[in-house]
Order: sequence, then C-alpha cells, then structure tokens
Amino acid sequence: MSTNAISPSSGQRASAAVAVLREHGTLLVLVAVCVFFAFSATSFLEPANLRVIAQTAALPTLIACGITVGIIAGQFDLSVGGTFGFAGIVAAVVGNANGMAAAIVAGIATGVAIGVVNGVLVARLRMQSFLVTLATGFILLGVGLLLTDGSGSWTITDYDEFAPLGQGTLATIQYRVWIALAVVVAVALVLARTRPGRQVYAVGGSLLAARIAGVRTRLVIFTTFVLTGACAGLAGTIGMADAGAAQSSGGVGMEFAAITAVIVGGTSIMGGRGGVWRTVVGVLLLAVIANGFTLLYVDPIYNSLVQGAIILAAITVEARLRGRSAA
Amino acid sequence: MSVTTPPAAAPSVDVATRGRAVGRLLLDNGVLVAFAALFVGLTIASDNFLTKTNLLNVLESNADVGIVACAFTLVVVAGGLDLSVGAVYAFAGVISAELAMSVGVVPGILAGLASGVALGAFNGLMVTFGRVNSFIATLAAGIVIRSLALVITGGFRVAPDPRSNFSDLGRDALLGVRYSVWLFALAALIAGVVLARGRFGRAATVVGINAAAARLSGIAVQRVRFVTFVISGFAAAVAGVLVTSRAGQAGADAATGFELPVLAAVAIGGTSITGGDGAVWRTVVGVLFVGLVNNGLNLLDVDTRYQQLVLGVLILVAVAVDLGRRRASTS
Repeated sequence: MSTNAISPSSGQRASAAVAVLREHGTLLVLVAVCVFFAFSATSFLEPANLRVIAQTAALPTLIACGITVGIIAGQFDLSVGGTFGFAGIVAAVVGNANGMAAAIVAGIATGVAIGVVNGVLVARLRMQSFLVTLATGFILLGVGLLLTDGSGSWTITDYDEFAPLGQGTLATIQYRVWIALAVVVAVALVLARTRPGRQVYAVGGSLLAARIAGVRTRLVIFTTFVLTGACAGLAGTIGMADAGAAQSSGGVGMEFAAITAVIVGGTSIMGGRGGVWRTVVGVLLLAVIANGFTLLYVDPIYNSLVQGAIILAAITVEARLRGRSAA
Repeated sequence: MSVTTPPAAAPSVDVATRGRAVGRLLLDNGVLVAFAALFVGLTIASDNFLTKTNLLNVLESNADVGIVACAFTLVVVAGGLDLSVGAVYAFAGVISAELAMSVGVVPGILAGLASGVALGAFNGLMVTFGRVNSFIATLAAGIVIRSLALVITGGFRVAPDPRSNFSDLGRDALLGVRYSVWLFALAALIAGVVLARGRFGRAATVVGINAAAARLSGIAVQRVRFVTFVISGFAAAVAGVLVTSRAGQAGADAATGFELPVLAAVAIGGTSITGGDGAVWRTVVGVLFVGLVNNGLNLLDVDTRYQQLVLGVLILVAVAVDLGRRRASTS
C-alpha cells in the first residue's frame, strides 16, 4: 500500500518521524486541539458538551463513512446531499402512513435505490462518477420537489412517533451516535479485515491491476455506491425525524463537507489509500473546532476561516510528505 | 481521444462508412444540434422568445457563468479543476464594493480584479509548487477565500453609495448591449483563440492528455497549469465585480455553489472533464444551451427550482454522448 523504501540510510529516523506524522498527523492535531480547548474552555470536557460534539458529528460521520469507501475505490459520490433530502422526504411520506419502522426502511431503501442507479451508470456504463453523481444529485433535488407538490418539504404529522429516532437516547447518548458508531465499526472492519475490503483498496489503487488479479472491479465499484447511498439515506431519515420535516434541498453542500472531512482525515483523494477511522478523526476535528469556538465566544465568522486554514494545512502537508516518500 | 473535432474524410465511400461518419458528426456536435433544435422549438412554442429583449436577457443573465466557464475550460483541458470560482467571485465582489466605498469606484473595481489574479495565483501555487490535487486544493481554498470575505464584511452586505457610478459597469450598455455581454463575448474570443490557435493552448492540451509526456517533450507543465488557474481566478473576479456592480451590493455568500453550473456547462458543451480534449466554443454553446433551457422553462411558466432537475438530465445526456464519442473513436 504505502511506498516504504527499505533502505538503511542515515535519514531513516527522519523518515520514520515523517511516517508517523503522515499516518497520524490529523489525530495528533485533534489531540492538540482538544488539549487546548480543555485548558481554555472550562466546560469543554464536561460530559454534556462531549455529548453535543458526538451528536453534531454523528450524521456527517455517517455520510462521510460511505464517501470514504467510495473514494478509496477511486469514485466520487456528489449525490449524497440530494440523497439526504430526498430519502428524508420519502421516509416522511411513508412514515406518516405506516409509522417509524416503515420510515426507516423506506429511507434506507431510497438511498440504496439511488446507489444502484449511480452504481449502474458508473460501473456498468462506465460513466465518470464525478459528473454522473453531480447530475443525479441535481435530479434528486427536482424529483424531491415533484414528490412534495412543488413545496420542497414534507412535514411529519405525528412528531412524537418519530421522536425516539431523532431525539432518543441510550445510556444518555443519542441513538444517532450509536447508529453512526455501529456503521463506522462495521464498515471499518469489513474494509480492514475482509477480502471484499481489500478489493476496495485494490480497485482504487489500480483498476487494471485489480482486474488482472481477478477482482470483480465493476461489482466492487457498484457496491461502494450502494453503501454510500444507504448511509446517506439513513442519515436523511434520522435528520428528518429530528427536525420533524424533510427538505429536498436539506442536504445541499453535504457532499463537499463530507469529502473535506475525508481528506482532512488523510484518505487519499487519488484512491487506494485511507480508512474509515481517519474520516471519523477528520469529522471530529472539524466538529471540535466549531464547538470550542462556540465555548470561547469566538465570533462564528472566524470558525470557517480556521477550519479552512486547517484543511489547507492538512492537504499541503499531506502532499509534501507524499512527495518526499515518493522521491 | 482526438484533439480536433472534425472527423477525417472516410477513405471508402460505402453507405455504412458514410452512415458512421454522419453519426460521428452528430455525436461530435451534439450540443450544437440540440441547441439549434431547442432554438427553433422555442421560437415556435413561445411568441416572446425570438425578441431582442428576451435574447439579450438570456445573454445577460448567463454572462457571469459564461465568462467563468470560458476560463474554466482552459483549466479543465489542462487536466485541472477550479472549485473556488464561486468564492473568488464573492471575494472580488466584496473587495470592489468595500474599496469603492472607502477609496473610489475605479480603484475598487481594479482591486477586485487584482484580487482574483492573486487568488488564482495562490491556487496555481498550491497545485504546482504544493503538488496538491487541484480538486482538493481549490475546494479548500474556496472555503478559506469565502471565510476571508465573511471576515471582511462581518456578515453584512456591502453597498456603495447608489448615487456613485459603481453600478455603471454592470448596468450600462454599448450599442444597446450591456457590458457584461460584451465581456462574455470577449472572454470567449480570447480563451477560444488561446486554446485553439496558440502555442499555450496546444501545450495545455498536451498537459491534460499526459503530463509526464508533456514534460518529456519540453513543455513547462507547471507553468502552464499555474497560468490556467490565474486566468480562471481573473475570470471569476470579472464575473463577481460585474454582478456586484449590477446589484449595487456585495455579500460574502454571493455565488454559493456557482462552480457546479459552470462545471455543468463545460461538460454539457462536450469538453472532457478529465482533460486533454475540449474547446471554448463548446463551452459557449453549453452555457447558452442551459440558458435557453432555463429561459424556455421561464417562458412556459415552470417553477425555476425545476431548472436543477433539467440541468441534471442534461449533464447525464452529455456524459452519455461523450461516452459514445469515445467508443466511436476507439472502435
């Protein structure tokens, strides 16, 4: 996977340090930021605040989890924002008639169906994922409007029925956090420990080499889209249950936010390298910064500036380190 | 794969070959055919379509996308992407409005344009010197640039004195046509000539096809890439200053998501988004085609929010046609 040249040179220790930075840079930054806020904002480490961080990070993690697998396989899914809103609408429509369980199934199924369409267009017809999913994302926004008679939003009639999904807690932590955690652990295990997981890396590393090695590359790519769709659909359903309504445009911008978190975590945009735990670190880093700034009463207009600066620093350092290890 | 679009003359003139050649010609010029068909269709369907006012309106309302898309085409052909154009657009607008208030209208506008060049150069340095993938570099740069605009404005709208001549650029006309349309035409002309006729355009195309081969054949790959980002930043600033001038006010949230319609117009025109194959005339037709579709929907009283649905379908069709072209050229 990585290009560790085993040469006993004098710079070996330096390159070992670089390797540690490379592998765990974002994690180190996250720890540093947490330590900083722990000392500067008294309430940062309070359980209530940590719960807030986990809660805000849950849905972005869920979406970014799917995006991560896609990017490792060399595919972009820009339709997750559209899927988030559209699956929420479908879940609300179905849920109003048939209750919460049906809503959850409908929301996930909608995400899966969208993933199947994206997957067929990209894997079967070999269209470029970036443009295809840009297109399906736009289309979903419009279909969401059609489905809601042009209003673009759909409200739950019985909010209490859905309250458990949106607000419910288990051991004082919100369901959505547990759900995100479960999905992350499952996907991370499959990626890191199983044959299909290794095949995802193989496809993203070199499509041709993977095909020659006997990997069913189209099936792998197709599956990543289905997974990404399912994650976005589930997130849209939870978001709908929480807000009491779903909006067609409710997820606009989520695709780029997710890609940003994936990259900040250290997953390579070129495919073949990365991991789900990295993405969790990336999402948490951005969530912690936003939270800490709120606690310190920093004007929110500086929040995105600092986040942007950190993202810039992360990608530049990554590129420099990669350049060095490749040289 | 071929760089130039006209298909070679068929060597043997049997029916099948000629049929294939015609099919190839249609595929190559699909967006032009679709544009012409839509133009005729709208002329028949609506009495208000083929009027000077309406056609000028289409050109004016798409001038900002058009100006940026022409420059964007150069970036894409050279194998890059610039997702920061919306942020640069907003930033340049904010700078021009702020300085128009504090210093003067002309210095404000010039500073807005200069900021676009500077931001484009920053993007270019990230991609070349920093070796960061352009998609990521410009995505991140866009976040920072928009945040900077937000810090400058403090979240408020910036509106220069309406009695000043700040809005002249956006609202005045030459020969009955607004400056923005002239600038769109100028941008298309310059970018088109640079890409199709100049040495730089050829170099950019080779870089987009295969950067390593370009380097070996003596092309200054990094310099070519750098310049495309500077041009893109400048064009985004021109669009931002124009629209700010027309609106008479600027905001850090202007042109949010602007890069997507630009990207869509380039793709719909038939320029390959992976680089090495494209033309500015294609982008111009792509911009105008999307503009006509939206105009048609307006004239037929369709809710403007459905424009996104149509845009999505158009992108899919464009990708499919592009795929057909590729298959035809490899078989």
